[in-house]
Amino acid sequence: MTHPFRNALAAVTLGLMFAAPLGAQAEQPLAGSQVVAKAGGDAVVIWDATNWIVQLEPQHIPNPKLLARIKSESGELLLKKAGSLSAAKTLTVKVVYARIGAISKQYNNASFADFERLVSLKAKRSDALKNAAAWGKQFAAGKMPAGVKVTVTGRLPDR
Amino acid sequence: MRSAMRPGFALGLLATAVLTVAAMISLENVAVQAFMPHYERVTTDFSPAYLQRELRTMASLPPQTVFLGDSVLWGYRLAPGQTAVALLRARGCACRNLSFKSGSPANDYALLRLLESYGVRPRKLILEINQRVLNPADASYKSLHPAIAALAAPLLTAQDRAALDAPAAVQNGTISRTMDGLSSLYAMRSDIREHLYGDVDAAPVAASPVRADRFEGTYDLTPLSEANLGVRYLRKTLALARNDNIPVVAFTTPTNHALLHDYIDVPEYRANSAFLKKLVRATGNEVLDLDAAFAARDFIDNDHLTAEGNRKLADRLAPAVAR
Repeated sequence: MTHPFRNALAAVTLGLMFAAPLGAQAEQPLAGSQVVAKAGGDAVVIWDATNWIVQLEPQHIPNPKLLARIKSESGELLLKKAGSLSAAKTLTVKVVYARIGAISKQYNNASFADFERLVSLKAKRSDALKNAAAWGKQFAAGKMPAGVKVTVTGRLPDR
Repeated sequence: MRSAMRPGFALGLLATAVLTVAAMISLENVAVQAFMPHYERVTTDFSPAYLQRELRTMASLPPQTVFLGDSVLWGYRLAPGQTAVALLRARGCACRNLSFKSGSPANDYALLRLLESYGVRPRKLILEINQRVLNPADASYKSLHPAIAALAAPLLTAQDRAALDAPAAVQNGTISRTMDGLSSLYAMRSDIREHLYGDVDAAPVAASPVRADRFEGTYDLTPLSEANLGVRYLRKTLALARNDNIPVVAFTTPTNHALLHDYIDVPEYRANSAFLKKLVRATGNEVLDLDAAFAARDFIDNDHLTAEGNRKLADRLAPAVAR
């Protein structure tokens, strides 16, 4: 025999268990510096995704999926910055990450080799503001809206 | 009888050898401390031993005007004698240049803590404030120089240690660490080497066109706030100086606006500059706005000055130093 109150309580508890991490994830700041390199005209924001990529390493996500997630995060960043860069006509988010060189045997740490310019997303600020809600849903679903130009200029590290 | 003497003889030889080596190292240490010069500026890879020696010397001298800053004040691509501080010293200023290539507000704070700890009481502090190093993407943003980290670690709070990257001084083996503790010459080998063979960052570079797009991302136009680590440590440095009754004259780093026009001649950059100047003035200290005070010909690149640029910087700083 079912007990309605207990079922409802279980449903709420389960819902909270799943919603809380998602909520926490939504609030978690994007790992890696996001530098506003250019504020007006053709504005540029540079996201150093090194730490973000390193954090996901234990999940062993294949590179195509990882790149798709990077594009989604970049899209969210584009929408966020569009709100504040009032003098911008277009907005480009450039994603870079630090490639490491040889691991030092003496110091057991990696040397910095270079920055890989991975991908960039560009859109008109007016389009981003007008379509913010719709674009946000598309980015979250891993899709690139029509008004966003995506240019892949590099590759993720081989694993 | 002969076999009974051998162990004693061997021990005697060993003891003589150890005592001889100890005597030589002691003599060498005395000689290094007495005769090794105090360089015009620290080398790029200065050692904890050299910094410690400088701090002890400064503590024994009458109060000096101390300069804290980064590669601009250090004199990137210039000989030591061409820097603004060296020129001021030549004009009679009791000045000491403690700026270095990877200088930053966090390093300034740690250095000031060290000055305090070693009993150095500057007559005045000249503080360079460079928006470039307030960029979270800058290598110096949250990193302490290994030599400063090694000496200042006990002076930093747990919060400081959590916020900053303080690399281990040099992860050498046991023998090297032991020699660092015993021999001044060994401990200061990097300082001596760079002085004798030249600091790579002091080598002049052949003139070539510098492109503005090379500096995309060098300056972060995000509005500054207490969330910025550089701002926090600038505030801590000013508070510490005030607590120790050390007057501060800050100056905003001369920046090549002709080159970087597309990036920094914008309201956001000016707002950040105003924020920093207001922060300094709120502590009762003076700030010289040299950000757009120099012409393009005075620069090697985005902010490093030529020899002539350094002469002009010395001229601009001289009145504040003399006051």
